[in-house]
Amino acid sequence: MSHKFYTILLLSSFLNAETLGLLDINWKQVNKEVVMSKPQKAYPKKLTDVIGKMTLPVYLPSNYLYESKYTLIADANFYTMSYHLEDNARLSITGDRTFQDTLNPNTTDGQSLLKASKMIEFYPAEGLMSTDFGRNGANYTLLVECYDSISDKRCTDKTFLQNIYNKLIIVGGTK
Amino acid sequence: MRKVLPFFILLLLSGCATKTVVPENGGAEHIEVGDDSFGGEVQDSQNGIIVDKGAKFSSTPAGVLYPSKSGKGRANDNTIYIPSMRFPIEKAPAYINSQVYGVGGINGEKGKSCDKKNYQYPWHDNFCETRTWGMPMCPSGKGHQGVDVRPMSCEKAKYWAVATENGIISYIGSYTVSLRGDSGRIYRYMHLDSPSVIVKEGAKVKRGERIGLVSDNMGGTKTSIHLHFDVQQTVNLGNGVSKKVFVQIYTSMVDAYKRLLNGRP
Repeated sequence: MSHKFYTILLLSSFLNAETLGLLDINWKQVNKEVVMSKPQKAYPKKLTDVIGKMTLPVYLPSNYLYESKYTLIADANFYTMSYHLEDNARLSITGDRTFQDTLNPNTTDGQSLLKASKMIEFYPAEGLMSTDFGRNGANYTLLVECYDSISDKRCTDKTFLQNIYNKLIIVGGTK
Repeated sequence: MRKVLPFFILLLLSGCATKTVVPENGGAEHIEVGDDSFGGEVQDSQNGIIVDKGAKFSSTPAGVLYPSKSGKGRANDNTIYIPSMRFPIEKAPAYINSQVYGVGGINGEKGKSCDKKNYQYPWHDNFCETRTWGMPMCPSGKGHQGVDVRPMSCEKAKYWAVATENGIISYIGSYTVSLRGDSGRIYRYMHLDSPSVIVKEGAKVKRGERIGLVSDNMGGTKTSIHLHFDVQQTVNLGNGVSKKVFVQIYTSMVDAYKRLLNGRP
C-alpha cells in the first residue's frame, strides 16, 4: 500500500501577534526517551526527515498503521498527524509548543488548570474520544473520530485510545 | 402579512436603546438589548420557513445558562478572549442556545428542534452546559467545551461556516473540521455537511473564507441542525507547566456577531 503523505512545513519562526510565545522543552528528558523509542517498524525517511526539523518532541504511535494513509500538517512548532483507519475512523495526534495566554497559578482558574495538567482523562465528547496531555513542556491532543459515533466502541470506550496513548514514542524533534 | 405583523409590533416595542427586560421564557435573567439591527425586515424563505431578520439582537450575559438547570456557567467572566475573531457563520441571524435543553432537545421542552423558539434572541451561553467530561475552566469541573449555534433557519446544508482567522486546515474528519489559526489557536467546526466541505487538509485559508455548510451530521447519526464551535488555546502557568484548554468563547462570539451585524466582520 502506498503512503499518502502531505507536508506543510513552515520553518520560519514567525509567530502571530496573538501567539505570546514558545514553551520551554525539557530536552534532557526528551533525549532519554528517544533512546527508548523504537517503533515496531521504521517510519519512512521522507516523514522522519520532516519531523526531524521540528522544534518540539514529535510523539507518534509506535505500532500503528505505518502502511495506512496518513497526513502530516506541520510547522516548526506544531503538527497534526492523522491516520485514515481502514474501518471508517480517523486517528490524529496534535503537538503544539506555542502558547496564547498566561495565568497566575495561584488564581482559582490557575489552580484548576494546574490540577488538570497533572491528570490524564479520556473523554467521549461530541462523539469523539480524545485526551489532552502535556509532556516535556509541549502539549498534545490524541483523538479518534468514528464514522459511526454511536456504536463504534473506539469512540465510546476509552480502551482503544488508551492503548495508543500508552505506546506513543518520540519520532523526532530538535532544539 | 398576517405572519409579518406581529414581528413589526415586536420591533416597535423593542426600541433601540440598551435596556433590561425580564424574558418571557422563564427566569429573571438580565437581558441586554443592543443597538444592532438587521434593517427591520421580516421575510419568508423559499421553503416557507420564517427567517426573522428584523429582530433586535440580544444576549444574556456570559455564564448565565438557560434554563438554569442546564449547568453552572462562568459568571461575570466578560473577557473577550479572542477580540479579532470572525464570527464562524457567514451570515446573520444566527442563534446561540442549548441543543440539549432547548425545544426538542433530550432534556428540553417537548417539540421539534426546528421550533421557532429556538430561532429567537436572546442568545444563551452554553459553554459550561452540563456534560460528563472534564472542563477545568467550568465551575463544576465539567462542561460543554464550546457553544452551539443555530444558523438563520432550520435548513441543513444551506449556511456556510467560515474561517475565524487566517490559518491552515489541520484536520478533517467525518463531521469535524479543525482550523489551526496563525495565532496557534485551534478552531473546531462540528456537524458540517461532509460533501459540502470545500477545504482540504493543509489548505491555507483566509479569515472569512468558506469551509463547509452547517448541518446535522454527527458521524452516522443525526443531531439538530447547528454548528458546534469550540476553540482550544494553550495557557502558560510558568515553571514549565502549561495546559491546553477550551476557551470561554461566548463573549468573543457576541463581540464577533455585533461586528458582523454592523457590516465589519
